[in-house]
Amino acid sequence: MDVKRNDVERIIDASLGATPAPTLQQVEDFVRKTLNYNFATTLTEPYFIKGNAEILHDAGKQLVTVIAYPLGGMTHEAKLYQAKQALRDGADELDVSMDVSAFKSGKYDYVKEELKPFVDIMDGKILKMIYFASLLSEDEQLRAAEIALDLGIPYLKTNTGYGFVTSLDQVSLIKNRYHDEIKVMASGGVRTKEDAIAMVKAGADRIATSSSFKIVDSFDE
Amino acid sequence: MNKNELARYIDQTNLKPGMTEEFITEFCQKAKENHFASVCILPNMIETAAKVLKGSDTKVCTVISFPLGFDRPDVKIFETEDALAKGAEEIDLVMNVSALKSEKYDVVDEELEGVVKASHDKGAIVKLIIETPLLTEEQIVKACELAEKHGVDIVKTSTGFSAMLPRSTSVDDVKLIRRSVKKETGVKAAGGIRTTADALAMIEAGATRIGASAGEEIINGL
Repeated sequence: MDVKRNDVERIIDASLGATPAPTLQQVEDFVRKTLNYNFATTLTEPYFIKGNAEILHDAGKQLVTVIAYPLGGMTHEAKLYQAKQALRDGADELDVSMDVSAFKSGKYDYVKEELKPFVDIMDGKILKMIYFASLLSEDEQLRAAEIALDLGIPYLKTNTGYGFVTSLDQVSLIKNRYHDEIKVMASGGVRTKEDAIAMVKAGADRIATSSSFKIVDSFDE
Repeated sequence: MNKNELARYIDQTNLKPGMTEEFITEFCQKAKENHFASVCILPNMIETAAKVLKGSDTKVCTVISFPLGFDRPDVKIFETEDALAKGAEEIDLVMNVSALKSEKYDVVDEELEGVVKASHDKGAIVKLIIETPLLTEEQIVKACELAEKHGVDIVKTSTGFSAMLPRSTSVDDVKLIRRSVKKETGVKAAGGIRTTADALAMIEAGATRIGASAGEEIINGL
Protein backbone atom coordinates (compact mmCIF):
# COMPACT_ATOMS: atom_id res chain seq x y z
CA MET A 1 0.00 0.00 0.00
CA ASP A 2 1.59 3.20 -1.22
CA VAL A 3 0.38 6.16 0.82
CA LYS A 4 0.83 9.45 -1.01
CA ARG A 5 0.78 13.04 0.21
CA ASN A 6 -2.81 13.56 -0.88
CA ASP A 7 -4.01 10.38 0.88
CA VAL A 8 -2.86 11.92 4.16
CA GLU A 9 -3.56 15.60 3.52
CA ARG A 10 -7.23 15.15 2.63
CA ILE A 11 -7.99 13.25 5.86
CA ILE A 12 -6.32 15.61 8.34
CA ASP A 13 -8.19 17.69 10.90
CA ALA A 14 -5.56 20.37 11.47
CA SER A 15 -5.27 21.97 14.91
CA LEU A 16 -3.04 24.57 16.45
CA GLY A 17 -2.60 22.29 19.46
CA ALA A 18 0.86 22.86 20.83
CA THR A 19 0.42 26.61 21.37
CA PRO A 20 -1.32 27.03 24.72
CA ALA A 21 -3.49 30.12 24.97
CA PRO A 22 -2.76 31.63 21.58
CA THR A 23 -3.82 35.22 20.93
CA LEU A 24 -6.74 35.80 18.59
CA GLN A 25 -4.23 36.86 15.95
CA GLN A 26 -2.25 33.63 16.33
CA VAL A 27 -5.43 31.61 15.85
CA GLU A 28 -6.37 33.56 12.74
CA ASP A 29 -2.85 33.23 11.32
CA PHE A 30 -3.04 29.48 11.80
CA VAL A 31 -6.47 29.29 10.17
CA ARG A 32 -5.26 31.32 7.17
CA LYS A 33 -2.23 29.07 6.80
CA THR A 34 -4.49 26.01 6.55
CA LEU A 35 -6.15 27.60 3.50
CA ASN A 36 -3.03 26.69 1.53
CA TYR A 37 -3.64 23.00 2.17
CA ASN A 38 -6.35 20.52 1.27
CA PHE A 39 -7.08 19.36 4.79
CA ALA A 40 -10.43 17.73 5.65
CA THR A 41 -11.08 20.42 8.26
CA THR A 42 -9.45 23.07 10.40
CA LEU A 43 -10.04 22.75 14.14
CA THR A 44 -10.62 25.62 16.54
CA GLU A 45 -11.95 25.58 20.08
CA PRO A 46 -15.52 26.92 20.45
CA TYR A 47 -14.61 30.50 21.36
CA PHE A 48 -12.69 30.98 18.11
CA ILE A 49 -15.39 29.69 15.73
CA LYS A 50 -17.16 32.99 15.22
CA GLY A 51 -14.01 34.86 14.21
CA ASN A 52 -12.73 32.20 11.83
CA ALA A 53 -15.62 30.27 10.27
CA GLU A 54 -16.13 32.88 7.58
CA ILE A 55 -12.46 32.86 6.58
CA LEU A 56 -12.69 29.11 6.03
CA HIS A 57 -16.12 29.10 4.42
CA ASP A 58 -15.19 31.83 1.96
CA ALA A 59 -12.38 29.57 0.79
CA GLY A 60 -14.67 26.54 0.57
CA LYS A 61 -13.14 24.95 3.69
CA GLN A 62 -14.68 23.28 6.73
CA LEU A 63 -14.35 24.07 10.43
CA VAL A 64 -14.55 21.49 13.19
CA THR A 65 -14.77 22.16 16.91
CA VAL A 66 -14.58 20.15 20.12
CA ILE A 67 -17.37 19.73 22.68
CA ALA A 68 -16.86 18.78 26.36
CA TYR A 69 -13.20 18.87 25.60
CA PRO A 70 -10.74 17.55 26.56
CA LEU A 71 -12.01 15.81 29.71
CA GLY A 72 -15.50 14.62 28.77
CA GLY A 73 -16.69 15.80 32.17
CA MET A 74 -19.35 18.39 31.36
CA THR A 75 -22.99 17.87 32.28
CA HIS A 76 -25.34 16.90 29.47
CA GLU A 77 -27.17 20.23 29.60
CA ALA A 78 -24.04 22.40 29.40
CA LYS A 79 -22.55 20.23 26.69
CA LEU A 80 -25.65 20.44 24.52
CA TYR A 81 -25.81 24.21 24.94
CA GLN A 82 -22.13 24.46 23.98
CA ALA A 83 -22.79 22.33 20.88
CA LYS A 84 -25.80 24.35 19.75
CA GLN A 85 -23.87 27.61 20.05
CA ALA A 86 -20.96 26.11 18.12
CA LEU A 87 -23.25 25.14 15.24
CA ARG A 88 -24.86 28.57 15.30
CA ASP A 89 -21.41 30.20 15.17
CA GLY A 90 -20.53 28.23 12.04
CA ALA A 91 -19.01 24.86 12.94
CA ASP A 92 -19.33 22.26 10.15
CA GLU A 93 -18.38 19.26 12.28
CA LEU A 94 -18.52 18.52 16.02
CA ASP A 95 -16.16 16.24 17.94
CA VAL A 96 -18.18 15.44 21.07
CA SER A 97 -16.71 13.66 24.09
CA MET A 98 -18.91 10.94 25.48
CA ASP A 99 -19.52 11.04 29.24
CA VAL A 100 -16.53 8.86 30.01
CA SER A 101 -17.26 8.70 33.75
CA ALA A 102 -20.75 7.37 33.10
CA PHE A 103 -19.26 4.89 30.63
CA LYS A 104 -16.65 3.65 33.11
CA SER A 105 -19.42 3.41 35.72
CA GLY A 106 -21.17 0.93 33.40
CA LYS A 107 -24.06 3.24 32.55
CA TYR A 108 -24.06 2.45 28.83
CA ASP A 109 -27.74 3.25 28.33
CA TYR A 110 -27.20 6.68 29.81
CA VAL A 111 -24.15 7.32 27.61
CA LYS A 112 -26.23 6.51 24.55
CA GLU A 113 -29.26 8.49 25.66
CA GLU A 114 -27.04 11.45 26.51
CA LEU A 115 -25.50 11.50 23.01
CA LYS A 116 -28.77 11.11 21.12
CA PRO A 117 -29.69 14.84 21.14
CA PHE A 118 -26.35 15.64 19.50
CA VAL A 119 -27.23 13.39 16.58
CA ASP A 120 -30.55 15.19 16.33
CA ILE A 121 -29.09 18.71 16.03
CA MET A 122 -26.48 17.98 13.35
CA ASP A 123 -28.76 18.61 10.36
CA GLY A 124 -26.49 16.86 7.90
CA LYS A 125 -23.24 18.01 9.52
CA ILE A 126 -20.73 15.45 10.70
CA LEU A 127 -20.67 14.25 14.31
CA LYS A 128 -17.67 12.44 15.78
CA MET A 129 -17.81 10.69 19.12
CA ILE A 130 -14.65 10.90 21.24
CA TYR A 131 -14.54 7.64 23.19
CA PHE A 132 -11.23 7.90 25.11
CA ALA A 133 -9.82 4.64 23.78
CA SER A 134 -6.73 4.89 25.98
CA LEU A 135 -8.92 4.72 29.10
CA LEU A 136 -10.92 1.69 27.89
CA SER A 137 -10.34 -2.06 27.69
CA GLU A 138 -10.72 -3.69 24.27
CA ASP A 139 -14.22 -4.87 25.17
CA GLU A 140 -15.12 -1.37 26.25
CA GLN A 141 -13.73 0.13 23.04
CA LEU A 142 -15.95 -2.18 21.00
CA ARG A 143 -18.92 -1.35 23.19
CA ALA A 144 -18.31 2.37 22.59
CA ALA A 145 -18.28 1.65 18.85
CA GLU A 146 -21.62 -0.16 19.19
CA ILE A 147 -23.12 2.89 20.87
CA ALA A 148 -22.00 5.06 17.96
CA LEU A 149 -23.33 2.55 15.42
CA ASP A 150 -26.68 2.31 17.20
CA LEU A 151 -27.02 6.09 17.14
CA GLY A 152 -25.91 6.43 13.54
CA ILE A 153 -22.83 8.49 14.51
CA PRO A 154 -20.54 8.24 11.46
CA TYR A 155 -17.17 8.72 13.16
CA LEU A 156 -15.33 7.57 16.24
CA LYS A 157 -12.47 9.75 17.47
CA THR A 158 -10.03 7.72 19.52
CA ASN A 159 -8.71 10.24 22.05
CA THR A 160 -8.49 13.92 22.84
CA GLY A 161 -4.78 14.18 22.31
CA TYR A 162 -3.92 15.89 25.60
CA GLY A 163 -1.59 13.38 27.19
CA PHE A 164 -3.07 10.44 25.29
CA VAL A 165 -1.35 8.66 22.43
CA THR A 166 -3.47 6.64 20.01
CA SER A 167 -2.06 3.23 19.14
CA LEU A 168 -2.35 1.46 15.81
CA ASP A 169 -4.11 -1.34 17.72
CA GLN A 170 -6.86 1.00 18.86
CA VAL A 171 -7.61 1.91 15.26
CA SER A 172 -7.38 -1.60 13.84
CA LEU A 173 -9.49 -3.06 16.66
CA ILE A 174 -12.48 -1.05 15.46
CA LYS A 175 -11.75 -1.33 11.72
CA ASN A 176 -11.17 -5.10 11.80
CA ARG A 177 -14.52 -5.60 13.51
CA TYR A 178 -16.69 -3.03 11.76
CA HIS A 179 -14.84 -2.24 8.51
CA ASP A 180 -16.76 0.43 6.57
CA GLU A 181 -19.71 0.51 8.95
CA ILE A 182 -17.98 3.22 10.99
CA LYS A 183 -15.13 5.60 10.34
CA VAL A 184 -12.28 6.09 12.81
CA MET A 185 -10.27 9.23 13.43
CA ALA A 186 -6.91 8.73 15.11
CA SER A 187 -6.19 11.55 17.55
CA GLY A 188 -3.23 11.86 19.87
CA GLY A 189 0.45 11.40 19.18
CA VAL A 190 0.37 11.57 15.37
CA ARG A 191 3.31 13.90 14.78
CA THR A 192 5.28 12.70 11.72
CA LYS A 193 4.71 11.53 8.17
CA GLU A 194 5.61 8.00 9.29
CA ASP A 195 3.04 8.14 12.12
CA ALA A 196 0.38 9.30 9.67
CA ILE A 197 1.17 6.63 7.07
CA ALA A 198 1.06 3.92 9.73
CA MET A 199 -2.35 5.17 10.86
CA VAL A 200 -3.69 5.11 7.29
CA LYS A 201 -2.41 1.54 6.90
CA ALA A 202 -4.09 0.58 10.20
CA GLY A 203 -7.37 1.80 8.70
CA ALA A 204 -7.72 5.37 10.02
CA ASP A 205 -10.23 7.38 8.01
CA ARG A 206 -9.15 10.67 9.55
CA ILE A 207 -6.20 11.95 11.50
CA ALA A 208 -6.30 14.78 14.04
CA THR A 209 -2.94 16.44 14.49
CA SER A 210 -1.29 19.67 15.53
CA SER A 211 1.64 18.79 13.26
CA SER A 212 -0.41 19.05 10.07
CA PHE A 213 1.90 21.34 8.07
CA LYS A 214 5.04 19.44 9.01
CA ILE A 215 3.50 16.07 8.15
CA VAL A 216 2.23 17.12 4.74
CA ASP A 217 5.29 19.17 3.80
CA SER A 218 7.60 16.28 4.58
CA PHE A 219 6.09 14.26 1.70
CA ASP A 220 7.73 16.74 -0.69
CA GLU A 221 11.21 16.49 0.81
CA MET B 1 -0.32 24.76 62.13
CA ASN B 2 -1.95 21.40 62.93
CA LYS B 3 -3.40 18.84 60.56
CA ASN B 4 -7.00 20.04 60.94
CA GLU B 5 -6.04 23.64 60.31
CA LEU B 6 -4.12 22.71 57.18
CA ALA B 7 -7.06 20.63 55.89
CA ARG B 8 -9.22 23.77 55.92
CA TYR B 9 -6.95 25.27 53.27
CA ILE B 10 -7.28 22.37 50.87
CA ASP B 11 -9.55 21.84 47.86
CA GLN B 12 -9.11 18.08 47.51
CA THR B 13 -9.09 17.65 43.75
CA ASN B 14 -9.74 14.97 41.17
CA LEU B 15 -10.30 16.23 37.63
CA LYS B 16 -9.16 13.16 35.74
CA PRO B 17 -11.38 11.95 32.90
CA GLY B 18 -13.26 8.71 33.40
CA MET B 19 -13.44 8.49 37.20
CA THR B 20 -16.34 6.24 38.20
CA GLU B 21 -19.20 7.35 40.44
CA GLU B 22 -18.07 4.76 42.98
CA PHE B 23 -14.54 6.20 43.04
CA ILE B 24 -15.77 9.79 43.45
CA THR B 25 -18.18 8.73 46.21
CA GLU B 26 -15.29 7.23 48.21
CA PHE B 27 -13.07 10.18 47.39
CA CYS B 28 -15.70 12.54 48.84
CA GLN B 29 -16.29 10.33 51.87
CA LYS B 30 -12.59 10.52 52.79
CA ALA B 31 -12.47 14.26 52.08
CA LYS B 32 -15.40 14.79 54.44
CA GLU B 33 -13.66 12.80 57.19
CA ASN B 34 -10.54 14.91 56.69
CA HIS B 35 -12.60 18.14 56.78
CA PHE B 36 -11.05 19.52 53.62
CA ALA B 37 -12.39 22.92 52.55
CA SER B 38 -13.91 21.42 49.42
CA VAL B 39 -13.82 18.60 46.94
CA CYS B 40 -13.07 19.82 43.44
CA ILE B 41 -14.50 17.56 40.73
CA LEU B 42 -15.70 17.74 37.12
CA PRO B 43 -19.27 18.98 36.53
CA ASN B 44 -20.66 15.54 35.63
CA MET B 45 -19.69 14.40 39.15
CA ILE B 46 -21.40 17.27 41.04
CA GLU B 47 -24.54 15.31 41.90
CA THR B 48 -22.51 12.29 43.04
CA ALA B 49 -20.33 14.52 45.25
CA ALA B 50 -23.25 16.53 46.62
CA LYS B 51 -24.96 13.35 47.87
CA VAL B 52 -21.96 12.57 50.08
CA LEU B 53 -21.02 16.08 51.14
CA LYS B 54 -24.48 17.46 51.93
CA GLY B 55 -24.57 18.96 55.42
CA SER B 56 -20.81 18.57 55.96
CA ASP B 57 -18.19 21.29 56.26
CA THR B 58 -16.63 20.18 52.96
CA LYS B 59 -18.07 22.08 50.01
CA VAL B 60 -18.79 20.86 46.48
CA CYS B 61 -16.44 22.70 44.13
CA THR B 62 -16.46 22.34 40.35
CA VAL B 63 -14.67 23.75 37.33
CA ILE B 64 -16.15 25.73 34.46
CA SER B 65 -14.78 25.71 30.89
CA PHE B 66 -12.00 23.52 32.19
CA PRO B 67 -9.14 23.41 31.37
CA LEU B 68 -8.90 25.51 28.20
CA GLY B 69 -11.29 28.37 28.96
CA PHE B 70 -12.03 28.91 25.27
CA ASP B 71 -15.79 29.22 25.47
CA ARG B 72 -18.14 32.07 24.69
CA PRO B 73 -19.18 34.00 27.83
CA ASP B 74 -22.78 32.80 27.51
CA VAL B 75 -21.62 29.17 27.45
CA LYS B 76 -19.60 29.72 30.64
CA ILE B 77 -22.55 31.41 32.33
CA PHE B 78 -24.91 28.60 31.25
CA GLU B 79 -22.48 25.97 32.53
CA THR B 80 -22.20 27.82 35.86
CA GLU B 81 -25.97 28.08 36.33
CA ASP B 82 -26.33 24.40 35.52
CA ALA B 83 -23.56 23.46 37.98
CA LEU B 84 -25.16 25.54 40.74
CA ALA B 85 -28.56 23.96 40.08
CA LYS B 86 -26.98 20.52 40.47
CA GLY B 87 -25.39 21.37 43.81
CA ALA B 88 -22.05 23.14 43.26
CA GLU B 89 -21.15 25.56 46.07
CA GLU B 90 -17.85 26.81 44.72
CA ILE B 91 -17.12 27.69 41.08
CA ASP B 92 -13.58 27.58 39.68
CA LEU B 93 -13.86 29.42 36.37
CA VAL B 94 -11.13 29.27 33.74
CA MET B 95 -10.60 32.78 32.38
CA ASN B 96 -10.40 33.20 28.61
CA VAL B 97 -6.62 33.58 28.61
CA SER B 98 -6.58 34.12 24.86
CA ALA B 99 -8.92 37.12 25.17
CA LEU B 100 -6.82 38.56 27.99
CA LYS B 101 -3.59 38.17 26.02
CA SER B 102 -5.29 39.78 23.02
CA GLU B 103 -6.37 42.70 25.27
CA LYS B 104 -10.03 41.90 24.59
CA TYR B 105 -10.93 42.75 28.17
CA ASP B 106 -14.62 43.17 27.35
CA VAL B 107 -14.81 39.38 26.83
CA VAL B 108 -13.34 38.72 30.29
CA ASP B 109 -15.66 41.39 31.73
CA GLU B 110 -18.68 39.67 30.21
CA GLU B 111 -17.85 36.19 31.45
CA LEU B 112 -16.96 37.44 34.93
CA GLU B 113 -20.02 39.60 35.33
CA GLY B 114 -22.35 36.71 34.47
CA VAL B 115 -20.58 33.96 36.36
CA VAL B 116 -20.11 36.03 39.54
CA LYS B 117 -23.73 37.19 39.57
CA ALA B 118 -25.13 33.69 38.99
CA SER B 119 -22.89 32.28 41.73
CA HIS B 120 -23.40 34.99 44.35
CA ASP B 121 -27.17 34.86 43.80
CA LYS B 122 -27.01 31.23 44.92
CA GLY B 123 -24.60 31.88 47.80
CA ALA B 124 -21.67 30.27 45.97
CA ILE B 125 -18.18 31.70 45.70
CA VAL B 126 -16.14 32.20 42.53
CA LYS B 127 -12.47 31.44 42.02
CA LEU B 128 -11.00 32.81 38.82
CA ILE B 129 -8.29 30.62 37.30
CA ILE B 130 -5.93 32.98 35.51
CA GLU B 131 -3.28 30.45 34.36
CA THR B 132 -0.13 32.19 35.57
CA PRO B 133 2.26 29.83 33.70
CA LEU B 134 0.99 31.34 30.43
CA LEU B 135 1.00 35.01 31.48
CA THR B 136 3.53 37.80 31.89
CA GLU B 137 3.67 39.68 35.20
CA GLU B 138 1.74 42.57 33.63
CA GLN B 139 -0.95 40.17 32.40
CA ILE B 140 -1.23 38.60 35.87
CA VAL B 141 -1.74 42.04 37.40
CA LYS B 142 -4.35 42.88 34.74
CA ALA B 143 -6.23 39.62 35.38
CA CYS B 144 -6.28 40.43 39.10
CA GLU B 145 -7.64 43.89 38.34
CA LEU B 146 -10.49 42.39 36.29
CA ALA B 147 -11.20 39.83 39.05
CA GLU B 148 -11.41 42.62 41.64
CA LYS B 149 -13.64 44.74 39.45
CA HIS B 150 -16.22 41.95 39.31
CA GLY B 151 -16.08 40.81 42.93
CA VAL B 152 -14.33 37.49 42.40
CA ASP B 153 -13.83 35.86 45.80
CA ILE B 154 -10.54 34.06 45.15
CA VAL B 155 -7.93 34.36 42.39
CA LYS B 156 -6.54 30.92 41.50
CA THR B 157 -3.12 30.57 39.92
CA SER B 158 -3.52 27.71 37.46
CA THR B 159 -5.54 24.80 36.16
CA GLY B 160 -2.57 22.54 36.83
CA PHE B 161 -3.37 20.85 33.51
CA SER B 162 0.22 19.87 32.92
CA ALA B 163 -0.25 18.45 29.41
CA MET B 164 -0.48 22.03 28.12
CA LEU B 165 1.50 24.07 30.64
CA PRO B 166 5.19 24.96 30.62
CA ARG B 167 5.54 24.94 34.40
CA SER B 168 3.86 24.45 37.78
CA THR B 169 2.55 27.25 39.99
CA SER B 170 5.33 29.12 41.75
CA VAL B 171 5.58 30.86 45.09
CA ASP B 172 6.24 34.06 43.12
CA ASP B 173 2.89 33.68 41.30
CA VAL B 174 1.14 33.59 44.68
CA LYS B 175 3.09 36.60 46.00
CA LEU B 176 2.31 38.64 42.90
CA ILE B 177 -1.41 37.88 43.08
CA ARG B 178 -1.41 38.60 46.83
CA ARG B 179 0.12 42.04 46.17
CA SER B 180 -2.35 42.72 43.33
CA VAL B 181 -5.63 42.08 45.14
CA LYS B 182 -7.19 43.54 48.27
CA LYS B 183 -6.78 41.84 51.63
CA GLU B 184 -10.28 40.30 51.62
CA THR B 185 -9.73 38.54 48.30
CA GLY B 186 -8.37 35.03 48.62
CA VAL B 187 -5.57 33.42 46.66
CA LYS B 188 -5.68 29.75 45.64
CA ALA B 189 -2.44 28.07 44.67
CA ALA B 190 -2.91 25.08 42.34
CA GLY B 191 -0.70 23.17 39.95
CA GLY B 192 2.14 20.91 41.00
CA ILE B 193 1.59 21.16 44.77
CA ARG B 194 2.31 17.64 45.99
CA THR B 195 3.99 17.78 49.40
CA THR B 196 3.42 19.31 52.83
CA ALA B 197 6.42 21.57 52.25
CA ASP B 198 4.99 22.76 48.89
CA ALA B 199 1.68 23.60 50.56
CA LEU B 200 3.23 25.40 53.53
CA ALA B 201 5.44 27.47 51.22
CA MET B 202 2.36 28.59 49.27
CA ILE B 203 0.51 29.51 52.48
CA GLU B 204 3.57 31.42 53.69
CA ALA B 205 3.50 33.33 50.38
CA GLY B 206 -0.11 34.34 50.97
CA ALA B 207 -2.28 31.49 49.66
CA THR B 208 -5.60 31.06 51.45
CA ARG B 209 -6.48 27.89 49.54
CA ILE B 210 -4.48 25.04 48.09
CA GLY B 211 -5.72 22.95 45.18
CA ALA B 212 -4.16 19.50 45.23
CA SER B 213 -4.93 15.92 44.32
CA ALA B 214 -2.63 14.78 47.13
CA GLY B 215 -4.55 16.47 49.96
CA GLU B 216 -4.28 13.49 52.29
CA GLU B 217 -0.53 13.12 51.88
CA ILE B 218 -0.15 16.86 52.42
CA ILE B 219 -1.98 16.91 55.76
CA ASN B 220 -0.47 13.63 56.91
CA GLY B 221 3.01 14.97 56.25
CA LEU B 222 2.67 17.52 59.04
